Amino acid sequence: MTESVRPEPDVSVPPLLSVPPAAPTLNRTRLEAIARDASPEFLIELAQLFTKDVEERIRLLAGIVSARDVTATAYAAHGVQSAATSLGVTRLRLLAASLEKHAEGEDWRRVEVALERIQSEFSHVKELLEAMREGR
Amino acid sequence: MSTTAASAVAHPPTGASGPSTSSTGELVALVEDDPTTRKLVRAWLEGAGYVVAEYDSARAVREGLGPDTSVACIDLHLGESSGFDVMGYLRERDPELPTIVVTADGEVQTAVAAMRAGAYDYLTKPIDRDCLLLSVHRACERRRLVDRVKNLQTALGGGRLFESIVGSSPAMRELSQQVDRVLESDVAVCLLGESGTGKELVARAIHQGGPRKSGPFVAINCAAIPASLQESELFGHERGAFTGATQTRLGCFERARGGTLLLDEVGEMSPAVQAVLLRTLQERTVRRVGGNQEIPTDVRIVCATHRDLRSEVDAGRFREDLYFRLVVYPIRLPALRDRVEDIPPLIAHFLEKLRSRGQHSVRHVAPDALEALSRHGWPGNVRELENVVHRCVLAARSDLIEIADLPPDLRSSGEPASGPVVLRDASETDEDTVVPLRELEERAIKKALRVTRGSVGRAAKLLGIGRATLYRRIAEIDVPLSMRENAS
Repeated sequence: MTESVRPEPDVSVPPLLSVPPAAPTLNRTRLEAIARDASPEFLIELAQLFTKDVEERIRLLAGIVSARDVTATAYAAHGVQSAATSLGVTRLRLLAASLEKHAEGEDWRRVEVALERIQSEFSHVKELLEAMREGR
Repeated sequence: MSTTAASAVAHPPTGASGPSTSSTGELVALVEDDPTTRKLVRAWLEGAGYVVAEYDSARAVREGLGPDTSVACIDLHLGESSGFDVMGYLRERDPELPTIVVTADGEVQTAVAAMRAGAYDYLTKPIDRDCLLLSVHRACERRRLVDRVKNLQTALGGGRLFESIVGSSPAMRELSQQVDRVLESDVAVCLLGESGTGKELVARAIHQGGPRKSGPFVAINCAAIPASLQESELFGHERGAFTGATQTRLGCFERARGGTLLLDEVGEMSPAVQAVLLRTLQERTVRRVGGNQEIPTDVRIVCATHRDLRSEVDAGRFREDLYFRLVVYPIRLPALRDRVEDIPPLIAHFLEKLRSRGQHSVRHVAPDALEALSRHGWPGNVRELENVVHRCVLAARSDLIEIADLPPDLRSSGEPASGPVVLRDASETDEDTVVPLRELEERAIKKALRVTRGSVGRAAKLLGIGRATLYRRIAEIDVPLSMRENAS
């Protein structure tokens, strides 16, 4: 399970709340604990479920954000956050929490920035989890 | 939205350290809309021996929560509905069900609100496995204790329960003796009698009078359950066993573990279920529908029927081998028309029962009304009598039930007489002595104060009246000072 070096975010966009630049993509301690308490095979099943579920949630989130629906956006972001919390996908969790807060503040500029970063971060997470499944 | 059906994963924890939190199959309701969290929490709980039923919304809980749930684990963020809604629903449905709420990290105020709303415990995300298992373990322990206290309270009232169903007639004295003979053993008792004769009350008395009284009493009415569902109700089912089986469900045999199982209207059981029941009784193990595991049973079986089971066997509708398993000790309950002398004390009992709920102040029945009630055939037996008494109380305009207060079909045969009849309590033994109600009340109050050593609160509870009422009564009667030490 190796993490590639992530490009720094574009400085021309406003900073997002609660997302430290150094936040890790994955919480390895959490993943190892899940594998230990259940089994490595179970962790892979869980990661596959996460990937499938969160991919759909992010797709829905994008549609909701464009409709500027505060409640639905906050709820959809919370769903991503919840799933990421359980598996230990730290940076995605922080980005989703940030999007939720900005949506509640109706700061749509930052919401859109957060959404872009969530989409980008999720692609990265997906690669890492796929690599984990293949034992790379 | 229906209850969820995530793929079943149950890997026992390997080398996991932490508190001893294993379970013997208690049912945990997991209310969570995020499938990743559900799958993870389910695996942890199943690894510790719990049976998990998943619900992804408040609606799914309302539609599918089983009666045998030991603890509910609820995410407060449930999408369009709130975990607080689920808590409210559960509190109405089962006030003693412990709920553990799950909140996002940092939502301390929400957790505090949940605790104020009656949550047993709270956990924050990411959920820690050991914290989860410890909390669920403690909640289940609390649930067991509450159930045990309830069972013991019911058991302590067992004598009163039996008194309430035994009149002074020879038929009921014989019934009482028969019940006494079967209390201490697990002999299979079959209660035979018409509908409304009190078969379930006698079954409860057998349970409460025997060594299993601190265990659960579970009753299933086979006539009220479609044949297609009888097997699942009795023996439980695994998730996915059939269309609609979205959750694992414990059957009556598992729910009655350590106690008594009443198979009411056993004559209505389908032939297929009779075969499974026979195997269960022979092997003393139960297998859930769709399951492979043989689960040991530990129940006393009491069955009841209004049918002549022997005739059912002869007609080929009831298995003979099962008949011999179930009808080891048959007890026949008399119809009410065969013990009319019990009608006045039964009416007194029902009037007292309604009075204790504060629903009326009726104490007497006019002689012609009583005569009419005694002449009725009572095809619905004691249940019908109780309903009629309730109707009469609603119709009565004073503390006296008059002939005009009776339902029209019962009014025809009353003869006018000189004055109201004072109804005797079933516990009175001298049939010729009529004790004024005032005196009976005074005796009861003095006795209650004596046994509670003057505690008005406990005495009021025993008497089934409010504290204020008891204070008023004490002021009206001559209670010795020694008894009223705590009452002043």
